Amino acid sequence: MRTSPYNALLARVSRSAHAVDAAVADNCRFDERASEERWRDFEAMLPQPASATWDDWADAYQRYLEKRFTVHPPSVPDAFLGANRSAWLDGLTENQSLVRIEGLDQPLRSSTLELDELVRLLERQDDDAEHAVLSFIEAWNQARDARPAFAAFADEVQVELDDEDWPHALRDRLGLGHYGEPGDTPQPIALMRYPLADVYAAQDRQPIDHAVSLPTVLDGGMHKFFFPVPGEHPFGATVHLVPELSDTLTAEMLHCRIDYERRHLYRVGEITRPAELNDQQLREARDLHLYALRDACDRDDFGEPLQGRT
Amino acid sequence: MKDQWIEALRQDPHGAVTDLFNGRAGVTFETRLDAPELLCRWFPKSLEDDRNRLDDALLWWLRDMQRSYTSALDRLGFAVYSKRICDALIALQLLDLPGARAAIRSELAAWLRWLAPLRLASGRDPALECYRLLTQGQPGTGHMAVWLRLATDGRPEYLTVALAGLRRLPNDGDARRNQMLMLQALLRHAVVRFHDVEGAGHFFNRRFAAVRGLFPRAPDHWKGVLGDALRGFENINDPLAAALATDLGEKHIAKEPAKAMHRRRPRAVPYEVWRSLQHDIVNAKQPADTLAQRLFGVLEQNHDYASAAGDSDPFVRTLSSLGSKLLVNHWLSAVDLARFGVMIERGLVWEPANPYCWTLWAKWCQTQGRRDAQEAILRETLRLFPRDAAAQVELARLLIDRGERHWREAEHYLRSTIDGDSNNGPAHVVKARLRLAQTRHDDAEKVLVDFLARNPSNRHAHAALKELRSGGLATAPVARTGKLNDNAAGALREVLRRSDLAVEFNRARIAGHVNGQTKLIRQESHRGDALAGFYSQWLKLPDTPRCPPHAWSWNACLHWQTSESASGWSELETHFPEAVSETRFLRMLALPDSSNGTGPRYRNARSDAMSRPVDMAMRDWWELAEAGDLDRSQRDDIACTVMACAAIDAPEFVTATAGD
Repeated sequence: MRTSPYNALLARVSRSAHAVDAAVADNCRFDERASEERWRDFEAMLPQPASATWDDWADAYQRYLEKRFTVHPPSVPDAFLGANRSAWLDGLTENQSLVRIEGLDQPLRSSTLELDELVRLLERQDDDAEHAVLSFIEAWNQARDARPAFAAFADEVQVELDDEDWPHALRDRLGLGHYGEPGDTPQPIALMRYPLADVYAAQDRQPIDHAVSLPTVLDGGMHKFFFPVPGEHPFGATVHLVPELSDTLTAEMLHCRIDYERRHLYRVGEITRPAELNDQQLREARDLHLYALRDACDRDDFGEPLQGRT
Repeated sequence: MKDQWIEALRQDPHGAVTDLFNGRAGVTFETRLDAPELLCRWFPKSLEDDRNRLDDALLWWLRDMQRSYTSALDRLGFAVYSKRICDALIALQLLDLPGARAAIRSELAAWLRWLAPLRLASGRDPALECYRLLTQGQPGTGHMAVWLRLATDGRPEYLTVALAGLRRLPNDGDARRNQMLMLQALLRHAVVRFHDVEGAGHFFNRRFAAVRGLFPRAPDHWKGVLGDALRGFENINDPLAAALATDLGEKHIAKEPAKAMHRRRPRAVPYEVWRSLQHDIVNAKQPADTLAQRLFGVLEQNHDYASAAGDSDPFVRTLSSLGSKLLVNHWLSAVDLARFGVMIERGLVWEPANPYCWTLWAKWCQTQGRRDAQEAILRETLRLFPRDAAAQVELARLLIDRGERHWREAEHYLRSTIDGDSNNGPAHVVKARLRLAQTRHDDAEKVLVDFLARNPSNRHAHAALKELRSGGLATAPVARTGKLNDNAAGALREVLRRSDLAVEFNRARIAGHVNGQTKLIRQESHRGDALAGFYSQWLKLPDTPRCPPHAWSWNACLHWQTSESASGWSELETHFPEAVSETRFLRMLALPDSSNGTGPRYRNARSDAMSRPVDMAMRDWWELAEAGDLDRSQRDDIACTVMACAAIDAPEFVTATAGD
């Protein structure tokens, strides 16, 4: 654990009865990838340690995300700049497919289409429909920012891709708990599938230092379904949303923005069920995930179980 | 989490929304969703009361962000500030909340003034999100002109929103008009974005197919729609537009014309009817009220045609030509004048960059006895169309009547007019009036005598000299005092504000020093106003605030004052793709040796429906600037005028039918 003037605050919150706060504090305490430079940038947004509260932490994190993560092109997120060198990911074979789930609320808004219209266009085989889909993707690209994209490897999640209920199967496997907020409205999603080579090709068109990196807690990782990994683990590892399966470690990575193309739009679907874990389930799931990580890296000293803390 | 926040919204809506955007709502660590998507999930249509509460709270929050502009920016910086504004506007869209949307629609000019300079990228453009919001819930067709105009912005994302606006335009069950207008928008965009028929045609065909994809119809139907769109495109006075129309007509229609559909479509009034009315107005063949009714009939028909075909040219041309003749030569009743005001307003809705509409509006205000409004409109006219000699002379005349404090400025306008055209009769007559007001009777006479020596046939000057020698020059006729149109009130408020800024700026510029009377410029620039910011920067006021990311003139002014290198101008060009021609123009002025004649030549401004005022301003100076033999002071004057012109668009007029 890094030395920080805010460790006392994190330690206090990690003992919170509120599992979500404790989980996020743990994410900050356990992270071994974010550089000191990045932490300093984050902590510069906080009040002095003596007066800083957990609300201040949330406020600072929100601003940090908006300044350094959800940036707009041609700005580059910190994840792909020199400040994040410690988390860069190298040596990947280009000839492999990535998958990623995208929420479609905003793309549909940008193009003024409804989900069923898009589905019908995708089903039609005629040229005009194809052009309408291309216009949809163009409008989507125009409206997207340059935030890092979380992605997994297609071959590793093939079972979920083949599942009839792939939206929920993949959502759970990839730990995307934010898809399926409680509410009456189904959430339209798209499954994007593209070769890693397209990411590297996109890098050449952007002023970025590196195209692929490992997720750190400062890259959108301050939420309950993120879990940092030991420094020696080769990838990020998603937390499975089905508690009893949360020892399944699935590789995830971050890559720079790519402009989507028609061939990247693999499927569209809807999330209709929330991914709700109560506090006890969250604690159990995170602990099971932690033990799996310790086993995988042979690091018994990594992290600390949530259950049983006082 | 959800229930807690909704409860907080019920207890303290403003606090809850503020906390949500600040990350203090206890939500940040629970989800990775951005605020708009989160709210979209949490507030289904069934939660009507809570949605209404949220609607009000989001509007309040947006206004609060505007009110606290300086302090919020100090804390957040432009990147975060702009993102949060976008998020709030996106939330209003995703939730389809009508209250805030209606409020924004009714004060569109003021909202755009705040939002436009905050653009950071195509996906983070508050003004664009504002427009996108207004594509929803259009109860009438009042924004049709706005969408068509938006399509003439070369940025692709602006076309996307323009098409959305036209697609969602209410149509009484007949989507054919939406289709035709979408094709019109594509045509307009194509000729702005591309410089050759091949490129424009390729682009159009691709996007035409996409429109067809949204509205599956038989080929014959599309031939008819395209034919209508091309007819509505005929009045775009641009060689590329004409070539594109010919090319598309040949490719899509001529080979195999559509079967007759027997559709009745509105037509513009035939030329013979128009000419006959013109003759009767000029020769006063009928009473004024009869002529007025005939004119209104023609205007209504042409307006129906504009609304159906997207072609405003016949309407605006009739209004500016016949309308001004009627207004100048006849005494209209109060009722007719009020109706005339509505027509002018419609003209400005369609073509806010048409100088004739502005001149007519000023004239109409004069007829109504609203000298304050007339002066403000003339000032804004001169900001938008700086070489408009008639407006310069009219403003000078007005300033003379307002008293000695304003004579220096009047002198400035008259000098500017006469420098541009030494044979301008009205300018010399008004100059004589100024001398007379200054009790310099001999000088007044000399102005006219000298002018007549050069222009012996000028009847206007002869009459003025005769009048002068018989005891004085008449002031402008006393006008009645009338009521201004309510629909134009928002736009007029904005024009009055701009005029007040211009007064402060002109005084400081003419005086050659900052005389301390720049209170409004300071105040407005600290609210991020792009025009005030430019004025402040030009005058080098000591407390000029940080320039917002997308205020071209303000940014360009900084470059003008500090940059000696070509690279600075290139950066500006990249950052403002929609202002490439004006950036290159300034660069040519600033660094006459650097362009070596390799810069793209200025293209003639297109029709008034499509051109921007800054295009017209640059057209007036292009050759002069290109020749490169201007001294520093002349270059400064031209640069200042072009930057002022481009600082902010003509205000958007909102008509009654556009409201929610």
